[in-house]
Amino acid sequence: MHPIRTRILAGALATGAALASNFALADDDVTQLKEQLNELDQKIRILQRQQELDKEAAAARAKETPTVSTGKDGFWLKSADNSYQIRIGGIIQADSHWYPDLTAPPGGTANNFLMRKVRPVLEGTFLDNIGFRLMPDFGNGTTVLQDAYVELRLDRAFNIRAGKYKPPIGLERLQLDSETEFVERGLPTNLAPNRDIGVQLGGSVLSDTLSYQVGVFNGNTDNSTTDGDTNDQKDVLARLFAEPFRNGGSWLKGLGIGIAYGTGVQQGTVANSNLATYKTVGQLNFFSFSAGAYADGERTKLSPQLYYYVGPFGLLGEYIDSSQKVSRAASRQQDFDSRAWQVNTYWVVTGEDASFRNPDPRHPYSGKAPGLGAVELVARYGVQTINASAFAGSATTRLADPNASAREARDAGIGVNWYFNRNFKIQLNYDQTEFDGGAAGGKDQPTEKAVFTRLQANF
Amino acid sequence: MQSLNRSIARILVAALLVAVALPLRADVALLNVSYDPTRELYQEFNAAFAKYWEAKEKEKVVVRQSHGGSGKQARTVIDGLDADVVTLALAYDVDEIAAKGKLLPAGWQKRLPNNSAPYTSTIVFLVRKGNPKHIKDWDDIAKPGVSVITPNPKTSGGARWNYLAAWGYALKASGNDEAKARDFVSRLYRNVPVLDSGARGATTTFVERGIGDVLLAWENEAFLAVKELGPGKVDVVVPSVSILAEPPVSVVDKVASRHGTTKVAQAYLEYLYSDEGQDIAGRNFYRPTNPKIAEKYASQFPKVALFRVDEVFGGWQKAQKTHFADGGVFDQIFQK
Repeated sequence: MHPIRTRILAGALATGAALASNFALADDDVTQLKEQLNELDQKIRILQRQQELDKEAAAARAKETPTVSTGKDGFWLKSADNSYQIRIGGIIQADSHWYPDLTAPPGGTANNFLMRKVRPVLEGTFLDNIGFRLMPDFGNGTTVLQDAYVELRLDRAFNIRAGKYKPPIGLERLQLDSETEFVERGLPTNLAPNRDIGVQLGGSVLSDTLSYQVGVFNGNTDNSTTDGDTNDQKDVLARLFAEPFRNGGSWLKGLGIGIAYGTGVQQGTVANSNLATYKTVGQLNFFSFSAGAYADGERTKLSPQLYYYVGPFGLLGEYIDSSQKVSRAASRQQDFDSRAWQVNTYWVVTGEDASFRNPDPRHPYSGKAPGLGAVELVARYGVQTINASAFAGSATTRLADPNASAREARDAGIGVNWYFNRNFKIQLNYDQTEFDGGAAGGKDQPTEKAVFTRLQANF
Repeated sequence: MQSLNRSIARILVAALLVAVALPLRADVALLNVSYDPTRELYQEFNAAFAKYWEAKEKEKVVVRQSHGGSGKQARTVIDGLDADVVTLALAYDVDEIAAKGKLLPAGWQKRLPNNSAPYTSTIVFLVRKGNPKHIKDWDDIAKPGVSVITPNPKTSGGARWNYLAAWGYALKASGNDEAKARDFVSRLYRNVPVLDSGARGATTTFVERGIGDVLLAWENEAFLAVKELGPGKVDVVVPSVSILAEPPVSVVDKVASRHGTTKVAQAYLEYLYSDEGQDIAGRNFYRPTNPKIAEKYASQFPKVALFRVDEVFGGWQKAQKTHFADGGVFDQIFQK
């Protein structure tokens, strides 16, 4: 021990001994002090224990108390154990459509402002593995039930979904409506059903690198959301989609490639054709079947598809081949074929990662943090072709009028998207569509130029 | 094409059936919702039963346990906890599951021997080493300056047994004078500095936190504390009179039926009455009801005069209503 410290200690001991001799306590006093100390000790222990019990009680209450939360993913109500969850969300899209040329094809939509989608969303989970989703749409001045389904989530690899939802065919169609990079989807979406009612098995396997869906559906007309069915025949649709590198650090991590196939027998009537009308991305009709034509037999769909995202860049490509037996008057069960493909490219200029969903801005705009959000430039090219035989025959037997419906539409589009945050974006698109045929005298329909804008809030 | 459609539809239906059948291939699982101090008992018993059941039925059974204050556990089952069986501290809590949860029939208690109580226990005192406060009987713990640890009768079955044991003693000591019994129990609860929600928590308060002079404890809990702490750390004091605690067990019919576990759940509870089940109860300081096994463990249980709830309080329903319902006697005396 340090000598100075030793001297100090010796001095203290000597002082203590002297004090003790002068102020020695009686035994009774010591006993009393001990009792008081014990009493104080007990009081402190009781207070500490009471605090412990209060904390335990608060923790137990927290476990039993349902939670209400709100954030960029909507409003959530959750039971204490999370086995019951309900999300309230919504999408509002306020669009405007402008056609700079005054020679827009006949029958088209006029320049206007419109509420393209107004969709409250209610979805949730009961008992951990029973899911549901309900989404009506009040957009375009009509009320349509877009999604209404229940899902039994037995396993990540095996789910059963029944109700109305997007059938597993078109890749861009399967993209969430709030997440599309363009205001309107491209030409291949014409050949994919929008929503349909049926039952589907699905899931993902191999560490989520392979997903599948296979289902039986009423068999809606392409690009349609009709609720009912017009015949007893059903469509069987299936899709496989692989993302083989998704779990690694490879530059191919964002690659997804798949194929979808559908087959069924569709039967229409002269009064209810069960056939689609095809629109440009500007939402103007460029192909309609002749009056009296109707679906009359087998139809099939085949769609190879892929996307690839690396850093701020993305690419989405798909091809859909759709064939359908069609009759009109004496012309029975003709093969009607249409093919469409598109390539979409994306570049998030502000550097965020591109993906199948909207970019998540690094510097989101909010009332408290006025970040600039994320800016994305997009471009696409797509073609839809109708087989020539559809226009063959006389005015009473041909499936489509070559003087009113185009044989091919070719769309080139560019756009810019400004994502303020995960909940709000502004989109500006310009699309130009050229046609083969479709005008009187065998001429081509005039080129369609469309400028679309969108302000979207989703939560 | 139509035949292709039909074939694919058949495949889908078959896949659906496979999916539905998948969960049925799993081992059978039971959830036993029990009260606080039975953790060790059922850990040992569950292992024994699983071995027995696999040998008998060639089926693996996994029994999960949930423990807490008995009243609280009963409420949790009523609120939806999927208990295949309940093994609670007192019959009233199972009655509540039958009455409010409608999960089992009202006559559940007659389905197994001894009013569905495969083992019994009683209430004793656990005191500090050497018994410094000289606590020998109930009167000693109602004296001023004695700190008594007992859980909250609102949430703990054991606490209700403690309370009724004290009340029963006071009635007997006063010649069935209710006013004197009330005064006695009031004085006793004035000595309670903290109320835990369950018996195991109260043991923690007394043994680990060092609070109080005496713990009113299940007999098994007291002996377990002595065993775990080692001799000489705490002492068990057996009062002159105590209550015969009959913790009941029952299958929760609706849950077990929904889970498809009725047969194994029933067998699980019946096995508590087997020689092995009774032996495990005895080893864990519960009093076996099988006379042969009870004889084997007779020396570990002190002789004490025991009274039944039915004799003194007219049954659990009446006792609950009078003493533990909101605004009942306990609320009145503890608020003072």
